[in-house]
Amino acid sequence: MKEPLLSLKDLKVSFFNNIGEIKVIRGVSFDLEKGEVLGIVGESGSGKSVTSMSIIRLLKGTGKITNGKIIFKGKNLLDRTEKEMMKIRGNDIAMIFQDPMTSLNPVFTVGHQISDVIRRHQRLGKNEAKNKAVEMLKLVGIPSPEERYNNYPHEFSGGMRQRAIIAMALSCQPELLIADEPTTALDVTIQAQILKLLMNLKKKTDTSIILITHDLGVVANTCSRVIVMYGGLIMEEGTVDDIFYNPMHPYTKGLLQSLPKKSAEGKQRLIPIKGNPPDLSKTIEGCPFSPRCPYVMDVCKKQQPRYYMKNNRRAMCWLLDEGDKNNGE
Amino acid sequence: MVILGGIFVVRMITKRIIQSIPMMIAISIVSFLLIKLAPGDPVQAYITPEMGPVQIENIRESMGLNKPIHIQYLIWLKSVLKGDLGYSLVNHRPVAMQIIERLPATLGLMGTSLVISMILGIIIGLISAANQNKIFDNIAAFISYIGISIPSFWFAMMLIYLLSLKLKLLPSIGMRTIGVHTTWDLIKHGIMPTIVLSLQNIASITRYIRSSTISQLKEDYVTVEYASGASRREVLYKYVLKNSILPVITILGMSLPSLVSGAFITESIFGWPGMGQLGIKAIFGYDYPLIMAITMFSSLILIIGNLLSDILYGIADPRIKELK
Amino acid sequence: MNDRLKANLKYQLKQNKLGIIALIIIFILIISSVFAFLAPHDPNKIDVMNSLSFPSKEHIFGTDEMGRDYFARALYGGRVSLTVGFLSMIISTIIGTIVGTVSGYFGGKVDSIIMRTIDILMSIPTFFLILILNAYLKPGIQNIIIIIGLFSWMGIARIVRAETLSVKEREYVLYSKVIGEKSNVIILKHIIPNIFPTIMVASTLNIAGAILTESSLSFLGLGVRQPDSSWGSMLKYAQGYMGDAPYLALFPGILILLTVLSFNVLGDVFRVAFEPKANND
Repeated sequence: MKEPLLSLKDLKVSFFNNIGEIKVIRGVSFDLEKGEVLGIVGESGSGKSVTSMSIIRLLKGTGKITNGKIIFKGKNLLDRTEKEMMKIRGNDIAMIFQDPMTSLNPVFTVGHQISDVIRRHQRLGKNEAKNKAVEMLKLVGIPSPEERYNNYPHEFSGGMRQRAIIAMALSCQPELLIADEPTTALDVTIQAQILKLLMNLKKKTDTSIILITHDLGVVANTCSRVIVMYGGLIMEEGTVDDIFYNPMHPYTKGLLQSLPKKSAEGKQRLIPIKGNPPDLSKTIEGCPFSPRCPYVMDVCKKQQPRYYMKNNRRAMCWLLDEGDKNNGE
Repeated sequence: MVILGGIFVVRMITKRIIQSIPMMIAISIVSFLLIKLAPGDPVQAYITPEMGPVQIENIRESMGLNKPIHIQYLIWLKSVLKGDLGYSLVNHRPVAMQIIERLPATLGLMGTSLVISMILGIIIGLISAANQNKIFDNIAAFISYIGISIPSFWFAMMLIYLLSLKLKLLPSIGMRTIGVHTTWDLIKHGIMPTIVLSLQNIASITRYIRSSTISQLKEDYVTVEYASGASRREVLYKYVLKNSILPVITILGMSLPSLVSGAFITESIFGWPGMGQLGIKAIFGYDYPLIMAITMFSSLILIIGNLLSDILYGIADPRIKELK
Repeated sequence: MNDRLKANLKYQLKQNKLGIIALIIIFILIISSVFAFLAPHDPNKIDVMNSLSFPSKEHIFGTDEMGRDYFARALYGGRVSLTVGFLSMIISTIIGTIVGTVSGYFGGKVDSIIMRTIDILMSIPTFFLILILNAYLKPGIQNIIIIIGLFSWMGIARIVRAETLSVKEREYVLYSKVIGEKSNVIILKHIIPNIFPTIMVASTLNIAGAILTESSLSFLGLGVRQPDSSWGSMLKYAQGYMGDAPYLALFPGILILLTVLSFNVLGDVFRVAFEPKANND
């Protein structure tokens, strides 16, 4: 069996402030195969962004990886020196962020910023890098790329900026692209365009993508597999079809229910999940979702559930463990 | 493309210059009033001892001193624009000439001080921001506090005591040693005045750059740059620098008032033969024409300095390019 | 003042030990000025036999050129310096607050005119103007206070105007307008109490500047004049004795530095406590 491109093993991440330790990620493991588009879904505070920042080891402030391994192309990234990580960032692993309006440096031209990334990782002269940057701008669908090369970020619209950012991220043909809420800050119509662009580019370059979002609609259109996170843990994992048509975990079910749907009469009913996300600065006993779970049992509050596996899917839930005593014993 | 850019710059410069004209007019009115309010016979400003009473009366006529005040102002303005600022009441030499003689010394001191303040302020500010709350930052912050709190004349006295009296390293008075014309001599004389004049600005520029850089470092684009493999040094000194420096151009404008005010005290203590020393002497000598002229000149320096910094800012910040 | 702000302030002071030290220093200085008369020696008692004596147990700061106890002179000098600083701050704050709130609240033409005037005033080197006025008016502490106060309000006015602009859009102000309250009442009742923390910060920093200005004026001989003396004028006379008695220049200078430093630190602590968004970390 081929080795996965990226493999997280029991990752634990905490932030430390004067109150104490905030355990943001409490034991996350998953694999990403080459060529896959993996979606990570969850509410804010679920740990999804921290997961991606941990992979490229850019945790801000007091964040620390307290446990686990991040195996990329066979090597543990956590063992690498900062110098080695700088060579990987932007080159083997690239990342794009949520807000295109603030992701570009306002006092440098867009083209310059892209060329800089290219020249940083590849031994190209100024003009060669410029040509490559212009090519990338063209690739992401920006008209008149030679002129736009010399424009400043404020001369681009939001959607254009995000395209330019994608160009920058893909300029060195990274094997992994992490997209953290890439469309959240964009208009709905532009969202669709950007997602389409990402998928097209993926087909061309065969980049593997981790797409982080809170929007299940985005996931439905782009991902092959999905991970659902809550309270710093993975609640459920499976293919897109599995998750949407046959969700196993109560949280996943709740998320799907809270999507705006048109019922037969044309009314839209929003059924949000009752309650609030857990306080991560405190130890959580049992399943993190138990306070909000409509099917909660006693054992849920006391013991963290084991993963229930089935055909390449898994979900962390006592409900599933009940009927099958042969699993995980 | 370049031509368009050039036209734009010219337009902006012209606009800014036009905007500062009302201020210059206001300053001229204030200066004029200053002289009007001074005690004594106003014609004294325009005569020399050799002139006879008839000549004096003629001058009184031509300066419109018997006419209503707004006409006097216009006549005065006209002669000022022609370069005639009257005669010093003390030594009866033309005021304009005295000022021009001393202008280079003052501008030299101010200019050097400004350049040093900006360079040191930017460097120390950047390094402080890069090492927030570590030793360098704390020491720099402490020295900054002292820099804005210390009375400049006392700092000058301490420096003179240490470097001139005790260690005999530097001369304490004047711009040159009599009979010596070397640059090195000039520099030796200028070191202490420059340090004293620069201290406050170095302190305030450092604090400003530090806080500007710290807030830039929190911006999203910095994260993006790190995520594309940039090193800490690259991020700080290439990418953030340009953003942090933008307010510096405004700081340039903000530093000017303390440079101009500071020049009066610094030049007096060190006997530096500039406009500032002349101003202080003029006050003690009740030399009103000179006082008025120096007020006007120092205001002009301030206004022109601000104008320049406005223009520089317009060129530097791509976001301000108001095309069309 | 807001409870939240008071709590913020207490927290900041605890965090920032410099702030507490500054407060203590200011407190000590004020107390010693008020109780200057308790000094062991008469500051005006001339004793030429003992002139220019080095600091000793008898005279902790030594004696000046006329044998007067320097420590007592420093205490009384402190009275003058602190009084001038404080009172001129009051004048500047009052003028600055009135001008700033009027300009910010009424906006439009009034605002433009006022701001242009401030711009013009700030283009004139005010220090020189203060020098000029001080030279030609009757010498005296009163005049100094008034003149410094009259030329130091511009910075406060600008800050107050900026804050007024943001506060005037708040609901309770709009509500007051709707129910027909008169403008000056609105300004007094609603706007000023809400911009008070900002005014406090600006005033504290203003005292620092005023003390520096007064000492510079007095040093040049154009400020406080005999028989009054302030730290600045003490330094003026100390200049001539740098060789023989350098301590004469040391003590008043350090006192000015400590005082101004404390007010600057305090002002910064206030600023961080009252405007959490505008702080460094």
